[in-house]
Amino acid sequence: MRTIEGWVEGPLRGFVDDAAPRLTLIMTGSGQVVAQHGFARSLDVMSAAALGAGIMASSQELTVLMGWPQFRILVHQGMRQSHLLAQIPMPRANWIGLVVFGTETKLGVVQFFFERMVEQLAAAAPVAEPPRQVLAIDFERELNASLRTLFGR
Amino acid sequence: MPDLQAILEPLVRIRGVRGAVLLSASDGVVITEALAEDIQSAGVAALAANLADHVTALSEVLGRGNLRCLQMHAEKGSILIARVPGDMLLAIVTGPQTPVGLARLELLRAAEQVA
Repeated sequence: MRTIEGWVEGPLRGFVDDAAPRLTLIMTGSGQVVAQHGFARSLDVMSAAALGAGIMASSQELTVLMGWPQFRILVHQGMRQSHLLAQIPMPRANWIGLVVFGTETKLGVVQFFFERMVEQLAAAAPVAEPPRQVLAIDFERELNASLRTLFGR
Repeated sequence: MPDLQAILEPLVRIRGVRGAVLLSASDGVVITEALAEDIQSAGVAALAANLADHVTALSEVLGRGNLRCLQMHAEKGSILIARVPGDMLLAIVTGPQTPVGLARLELLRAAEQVA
């Protein structure tokens, strides 16, 4: 497990211990990886972060098109492996959580402990700063910066 | 399809029962619920499904076959879980003053009705 922000580690460790996911990725909406568990290669983190952020953005647009209320959680259930992708409301701006889990745990368990982690993160977060605009160039730069910190290259 | 809510409602009228939750056994998510108090039904569903999995595994190791009913008694009440055919579980959360025998009987009856 690697974290950029130290205060994220406690809630994430609790989630990993209780829900037994295979992989967990927490990132900001601009693609900065805040913490990861289970990833061995920076390339995988980069792909997962970009795809996760893209799926969230396109799903949000779809709900706007359909006139539905905003959603928070997206679940893809596979035969052997499932994914949960969810917004994490934080004081500064929404973060995104990506969880990959297998048949050794259950969707209900992952969702329950994910919500608990969200509450713990919100409680532990430092005082809010004014939000800033997210640009594509920032996404790439911040993603690369966080990958260097997480994987040391 | 039976009226699931109508099947669950009598369970929460038993003295001290705080809630009844019908859940998916493989996913651990709530299908429907009847609550007398504000209990964390999502948590009950998730952990009841996990518990049922482990107890089923133990039962199989001991050669007792599939789980039918599980009772867990704690200081402040009990949790009773019954298997429902079709990958479901029915769980009730009771208080300390609940007549557990009656609750168990009604739980199994309700599980049969759901099936």
